[in-house]
Order: sequence, then C-alpha cells, then structure tokens
Amino acid sequence: MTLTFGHTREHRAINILLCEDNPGDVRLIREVFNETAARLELSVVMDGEEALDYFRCLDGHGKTEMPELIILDLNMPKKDGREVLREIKKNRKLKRIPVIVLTASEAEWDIDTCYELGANCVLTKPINLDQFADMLNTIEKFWLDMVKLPKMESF
Amino acid sequence: MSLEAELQEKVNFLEQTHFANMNIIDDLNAERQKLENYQRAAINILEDLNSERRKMEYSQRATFNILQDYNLEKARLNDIQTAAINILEDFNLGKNRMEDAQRATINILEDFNLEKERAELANIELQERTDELKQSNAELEQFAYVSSHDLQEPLRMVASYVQLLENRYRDQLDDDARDFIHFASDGANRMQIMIKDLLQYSRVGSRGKPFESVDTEAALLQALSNLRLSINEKIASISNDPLPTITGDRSQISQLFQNLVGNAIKFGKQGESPFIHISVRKQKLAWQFSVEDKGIGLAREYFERIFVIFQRLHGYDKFGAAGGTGIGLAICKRIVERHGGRIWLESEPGKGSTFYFTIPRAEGDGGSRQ
Repeated sequence: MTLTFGHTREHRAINILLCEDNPGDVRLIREVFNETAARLELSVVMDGEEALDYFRCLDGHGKTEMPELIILDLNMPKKDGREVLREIKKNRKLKRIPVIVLTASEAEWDIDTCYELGANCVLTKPINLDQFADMLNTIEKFWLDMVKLPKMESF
Repeated sequence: MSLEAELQEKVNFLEQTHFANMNIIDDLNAERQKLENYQRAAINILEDLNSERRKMEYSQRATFNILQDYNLEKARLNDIQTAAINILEDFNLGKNRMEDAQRATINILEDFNLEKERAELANIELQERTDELKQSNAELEQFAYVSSHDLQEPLRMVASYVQLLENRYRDQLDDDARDFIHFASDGANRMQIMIKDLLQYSRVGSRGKPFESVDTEAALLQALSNLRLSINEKIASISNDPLPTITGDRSQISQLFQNLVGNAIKFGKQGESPFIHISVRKQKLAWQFSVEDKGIGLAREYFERIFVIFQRLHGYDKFGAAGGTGIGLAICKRIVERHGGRIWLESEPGKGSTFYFTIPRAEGDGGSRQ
C-alpha cells in the first residue's frame, strides 16, 4: 500500500509534447518510455510548423492539452527547433513550460544558441541504445519526480 | 868763372836735384801708395774670390743636393707615374667592368621587369588558388561539420534499432544472427567514433583560438592529467626537460602533447612500462620539441602514411578500441601546420620512436625555464 501526501502526479499521466521529425526517433522514444511506467502522455508533432499550430490550437479552443514538458529536436524541416524555441520563449504563457532540447548536434554554437534562446537543458542523443534509454529514464525521473513543475494554466 | 858763381851754380844744381829727388820721392811714395792700394785691392779681390769660391762650393753642393733630390723625385715621379698608369689601367678595367655591370644591370632590370610581370601573373594565380583553397577548406570544414552532424542521425537509427532487435529478440535468435547483429552494431559504433574524430579534425582549423602566450610545460601537464588513466594503467614513466613559453593556441598545444604522449603509451612494448621523454631544442627561428619513446616503433615506409587521416598501421585485433581511428597524428599535423611548424619522426621497429615538431619562435618568447 502506498501512502501519498498532498498533490502527487501518480494519479494522472503527464503530458509531454515531443517535437521530432524522425519517426525512428519517435518510435524509439515511445519504446523506451513504454518499457518504464506508463505515466506519461506523449503528443507528437513532426515539424516546426506543426508545433506552432499545436500551440495556436491551445491558444484558441483548448482542443489540445497544455503540455507540462516539451522535448524539442533542433533539426526539423520547415521551421527548425530554434525557431520553435524562440516562439515558445516569446509567449507569455508558453515560456513557463520547461523545454528539453534533444539534439544530434554536438556543435557548441547549437548548444550556446539554445541556452541563449532560453532552453532549460540541452541533451545530445547518444548513439548507443542503452545510453539513450538511460537518458530518457533520467529525464523522466528528474523532470517528473524531482522537479517542481509550474502550475498548469489554461489559456 | 868765379867760385861763387860756381858754388851758386852747384847750389842751384843741388837744389834742383833735391827738388827733383823730392819729386821723385813724392812720385815714388805716390807710386808705393798706389801699389799698396793695388795690393790691398788684390787682397780684397782675392778675399772676394775666396768668398765667391766658397759660395760657389756651397751652391755647387746645393746643386748637387738638388740634383740628388731631383733624382729621388724623378724616381718617385716615375713610381707615381707608374702608379697613375696602373690606376688608369685599373680605372679602364673598372670602367669596362662598370659598363659590363651596367649592361648586366640593364639586362637584369629587363629580366626583372619580365619576372615582375610573371610574378604578378603568378601572384594573381596564387591568389586565385589561395581563394580556391580557402573556399575548398571552408567547404571541407562545412562538409566535416555536416557529416558529423547529419550523418549521426541515420547512424543512430541503425545502431539503436540493431540494438533494440538484440535486446528484445535475443532469445529467439541463433548464434549466427547474434554474430551478425554484433558486427552491425560494432560497425555503427566505429563509424560514430570516426565521425566524431572528423568533427574534431575539422575544428582544428575552424575552431582554433587566437594565438597567445603559452607555457608549454603547463600545456604538457594538462595533457598528462587528461591521460592519467592510461598512464596509471600502463605504469608509464614520463619525464621532460624544462619547456619554454611559446606563442600559440593553448588548448591545441595541449592536445598535441596529449596525442603524441598518448600514442607513445598506446604503442609501448607488450609487458613493458612505457618510458617517455619530452625535450626541446632552441633553434634560430623555432622551438624543436621531441617526444621520445622506447616502444614498438615503425618502419620508414610508414613515416608519411601515419599522418594521413584514418590511416592506421595496426588492426583492431591488436590494440582494440584503444587503437583508435587513426586521427590522432592527422590532428597533430594540422595543429603544427596551423602554428607554421613541421612534424616528423625518427623510428626503428623494436627500438622506439621520436616524434619531432617545430613551433616558430615569436618575438618576446621567453627562454627555457631553468
């Protein structure tokens, strides 16, 4: 029997928005997250335009759920991750949502640019599956268990 | 006749005679006086003559002296004349030579103008080549960056899904299938390391820092600190001469030492503790560093090849993953060349290798720390 005090997240799934154009990566992330406790809801957008559309829908009609965490790939077609990040951090309400930049690039300027644009953390995708799984599990553990996320606020 | 008359006559005569005598005496005296005068005059003349003779003798002697002097002078004059002739001859020679030189100069000037034109043409060509080279270098760096970045993505897919396959279906696969999966993921891993190396290689040029004053001893210490694990593992003993302060890129110099010392450790003799010594020699224009080991060494035919990117002398079986991709020395070469220096080695199989590199000395570079 588990005793829970106050407000815990275990009763409901956390909504994570994944902005990732590579279906292979999306599947891989799903696979890894599915292997752990299914306590997160993953919404996926495949490019920058789609991501901005997603936020626009949030703004107007509340059809989509407000994400509590955004995982953002940098290299996406149409509008890339940097532009999406800039839009998010310019928006009064969206800017409170933590953004995890997940990128294949190790180039310093990518990393620096991300922090300048207001990324909450920047992670490089490891090539090794085990390391990738470790990283995703750590994301889950850190951002869902340890970090106090801001209160959800609808538009 | 009377006596008186006679006497008178005689007295008269006597008187006349006396007068005559007196006159004669007077005349005689006068004559004597004249004679004395003549005598004196003659003496005077004689004296004068003597004096003249003496003068003449003097003048004769003087003339003689003059003549002697004259002869001497004549001889000197001859010499001078000869010398003058020589000088004139020399002058003529000189003039000829000068004319030759002038002609040569004109020729040279003409040649020079031709050369200048040619050089200008060559310069333009060189500039074009340099621009092309810069362009192609930039493209290469861009290519290396893009490859390191964009190639990672599909590679990660291959590696990850092969691994997922193995993780999830291990029990349903036979030994062959597991072998195949192993080779596939090993290949993907190696390719990723190569891509990372390629990125690092391209960054030597594109991410180099401006040159500053670098304490090479501190740079070496930094390198050794990064190599601490393998130094401890192989129980390597590393020593160095006092090293100078140079002008360069601090982190690249450190990287240079790290790659060279790292190689020396990696290619030590089996079962022996590597012994490595770093020394430096001050040359007129450059510092010549050397990294000497007593390792396995290599044959002369490989001296060039080892500096080429991804060229390896040893198979994966021998040194395993530690063998690396063969980028270390290529990076060393790029770093040294970026500093305007040269890198080479002396080696003998079984006896060890010494890698040398030079870094040009800049003004204000301090001496060796003693």
